Amino acid sequence: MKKLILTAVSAAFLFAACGVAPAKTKLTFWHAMADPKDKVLTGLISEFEKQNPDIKIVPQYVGNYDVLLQKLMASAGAGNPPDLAQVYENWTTRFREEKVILPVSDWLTKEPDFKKDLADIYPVFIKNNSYENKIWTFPFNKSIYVYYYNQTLFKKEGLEAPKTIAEFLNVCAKMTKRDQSGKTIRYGFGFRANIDVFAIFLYMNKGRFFNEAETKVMFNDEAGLETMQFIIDLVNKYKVAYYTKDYLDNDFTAGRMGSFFSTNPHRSYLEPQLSFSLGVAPLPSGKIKAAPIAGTNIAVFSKKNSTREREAACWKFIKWISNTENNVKWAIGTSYLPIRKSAAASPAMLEHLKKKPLDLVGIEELKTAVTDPRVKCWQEVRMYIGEALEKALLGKSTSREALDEAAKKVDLLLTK
Amino acid sequence: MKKNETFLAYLFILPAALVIIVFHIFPTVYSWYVSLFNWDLISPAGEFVGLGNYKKLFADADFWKALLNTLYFALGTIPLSIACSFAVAYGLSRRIRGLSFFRTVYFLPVVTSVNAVAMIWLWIYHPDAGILNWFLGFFGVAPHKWLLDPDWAMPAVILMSVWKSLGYNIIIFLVAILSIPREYYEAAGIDGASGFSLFRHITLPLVMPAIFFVSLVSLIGSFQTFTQIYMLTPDGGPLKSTMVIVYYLYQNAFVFFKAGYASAISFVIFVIIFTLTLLQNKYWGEKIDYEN
Amino acid sequence: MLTLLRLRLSAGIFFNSFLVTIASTLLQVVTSALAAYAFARFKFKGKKFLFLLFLGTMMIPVEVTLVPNYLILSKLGWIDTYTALVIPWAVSVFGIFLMRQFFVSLPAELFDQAQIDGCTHWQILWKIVLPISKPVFITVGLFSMLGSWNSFLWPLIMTNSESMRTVPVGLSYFTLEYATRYHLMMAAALFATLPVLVVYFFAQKYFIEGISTSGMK
Repeated sequence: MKKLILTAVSAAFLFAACGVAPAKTKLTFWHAMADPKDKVLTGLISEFEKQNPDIKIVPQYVGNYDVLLQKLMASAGAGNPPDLAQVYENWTTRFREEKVILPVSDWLTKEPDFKKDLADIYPVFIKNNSYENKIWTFPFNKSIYVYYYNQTLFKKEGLEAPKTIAEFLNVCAKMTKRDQSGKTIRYGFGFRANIDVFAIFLYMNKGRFFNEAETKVMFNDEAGLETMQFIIDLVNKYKVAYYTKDYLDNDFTAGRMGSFFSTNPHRSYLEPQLSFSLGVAPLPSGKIKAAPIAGTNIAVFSKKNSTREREAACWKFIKWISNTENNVKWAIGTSYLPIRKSAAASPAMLEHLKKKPLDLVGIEELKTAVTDPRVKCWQEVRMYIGEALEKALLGKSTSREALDEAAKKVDLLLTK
Repeated sequence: MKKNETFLAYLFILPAALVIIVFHIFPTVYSWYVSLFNWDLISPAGEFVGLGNYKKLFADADFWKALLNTLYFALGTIPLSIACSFAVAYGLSRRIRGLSFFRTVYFLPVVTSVNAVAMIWLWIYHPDAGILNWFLGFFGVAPHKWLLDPDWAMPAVILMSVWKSLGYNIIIFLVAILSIPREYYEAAGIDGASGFSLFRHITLPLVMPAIFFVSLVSLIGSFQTFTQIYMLTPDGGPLKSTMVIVYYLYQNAFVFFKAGYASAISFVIFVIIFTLTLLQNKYWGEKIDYEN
Repeated sequence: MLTLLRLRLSAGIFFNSFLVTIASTLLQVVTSALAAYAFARFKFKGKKFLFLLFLGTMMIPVEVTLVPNYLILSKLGWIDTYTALVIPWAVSVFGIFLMRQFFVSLPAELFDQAQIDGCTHWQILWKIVLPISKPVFITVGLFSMLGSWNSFLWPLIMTNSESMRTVPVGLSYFTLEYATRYHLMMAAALFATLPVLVVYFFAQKYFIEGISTSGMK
């Protein structure tokens, strides 16, 4: 019996270690693309491998973004990171400082037509991946926040998607329904009690989390305070919105809630489950029109004993997957934003948008795109703001107290 | 001969000792060392801060909150679990018929993984689809967002933990109760003792060591509790109401990547658990004659 | 079957869990039996200290040592291998404790006679003690299986590729990006638990004996 197990174990080791053809450059690519997006990714990868027989890409779904970051930190610390991985901008800030990743600029600028090529990519993505005039990571699965609503119910109530924040409040009020006992059976708006909803309202209120250099806290200024109070009032004063920490899909699908904010690829998950017609609209505008960008970029990790072939292969893959043709395939398959203007204007894309017109909303919104801060301590900031929001929602402190407390904690992190 | 025996003994212990030293003792000691640094996991070397992390820790309101939450969890879980499991065990000991069936049912949650169990309880506590609100609805109780309420999130976690640990404790109490010689009760019965007085004067005192044992094991368990908190309230609960000490450690190590600070927390956890283990061992030790 | 695939609980994941569980269970039983025999039958220096040390260190929650252990496993080149899931958990202090209790209770004449007959301690353990201690071996094995099958955070951090994934990790991936599907979640939880339930129904006597022993003897 023991022998049997030993054989089984060693056979398994062999199995795990083999499968590497000698002359091929093998690249591991860690991602957080859950089903069914991973299928689009693996489809593209096998096409890449067909065209580049000397390179093998091993995509590994390592879990959600939290787990991905944990694994990147641990593996980079142990000196054994993957070759490629999805990263958020605030991760890049840290990885860059610790020299864990290599700037893609190094290869990019050697390409013959690179200036023209970069001009094709939406500037917001280039800017957000640049540090000190170098592009460090390359935009990959980018998305943008949009307004989702129950179109069937809106029509019944004679409502349209709100264009301004005043209309938004009005729509929420009209969509909220109470039964005879006064119990709310439907809310106009729902949100998850975390930083995202605060960020969306803050940006459209012309507020920012930090100053331009990201060295000073600004989210507890007048704009921040107004934003926080507005969210609290939606729930506690006007009673037209509710919050949860769970996903919002179930309530929206069941018609218990009329509208919510989410990123544009959510459309493809949501639509098949609905018994009513889905509406997607740009975020309402506050003092300004502003739609936060979400999603990650691809980074090349530095490795001990790295070869030029490895690094060249990494760049080759990035270049390939973000060229117009493949970016179109990716965007159509996953509903992520095209990162190129040429991709957005391509015949295949236009054909897709004819079939799925709701996907156009996000692309149009790129004109008013804003980005989240890139501070290293963003994880902590997220938690502190989420806490502040929760405290104010529960009436444990006023909006001002809650935000000031969070600001004090974050300032402490920034000065370090 | 004696020398040979010592050598042989060490040889027999070697495989176990090797694993324990490499993967349990060394990492523990290493984390003490890391606790003297500011280190984010990826920089090649941290900045030496001496006892700075400990100073910061003892001045950290969240750390004390986490400790307090852990005690709340322990005080919420242990007496309730003991009371329930003791009552069930006592009932089972009276009516032996069907004993194995009930034992099976109560013991099921013990063998099931916390992850799977937590998924079921997430559903039970769900504000709209959950069975708890549905059930309470019959008594005219308005639906409640259990895991979103800072006052109810911890009781919700406690209830699940009690449910999960019930079977283990029932068996320990059952064995303790069944091992009381019948003659004790018979003798007392002749003296005219009633049912309650039998329980009060015979059953309870003789089961006391088992109660002590269960309390201690559960207390150690409280300082190890993480998965059910993480599954039910991934962010540590509304207003950090379910943030127990191991959760706080996890957050610092694997969300904020403050490896040094997290290691200081882990040292505190180690000291507490080791002290409790020594206590437990004293209890076990009374029954183990080390010299044979 | 389609839902199973959607749950990322493929046959491969179950195979991994079975393999890791069986391997660590066998190792745990063997190392525990050896150590327990030493603690039960030998007189040697540092016995009490070692026993205490074993007991104390294994009580430390896995979260505490996760970071250093990751570094150790990286140095050993074990990340993302079965070895990482099996070897660090090749010991069960609970098992050592339980078996020691049982071995001590065996009559001393048994061992004396065996030694007179020329048996080595190794032979005594496997040829004489094992056959009469089957129940306690089974109990220890069952508890090892349980711990190994349900282990979550360790395999989550120590493995990366899909080909190394175990059932609880696959289960955790089930919380999708945008929604929790409760009915699928229940199905997933049931599938993940099924093997444990089957084993439990056939062997609950041993589970219960194990707990009784740890608490009372």
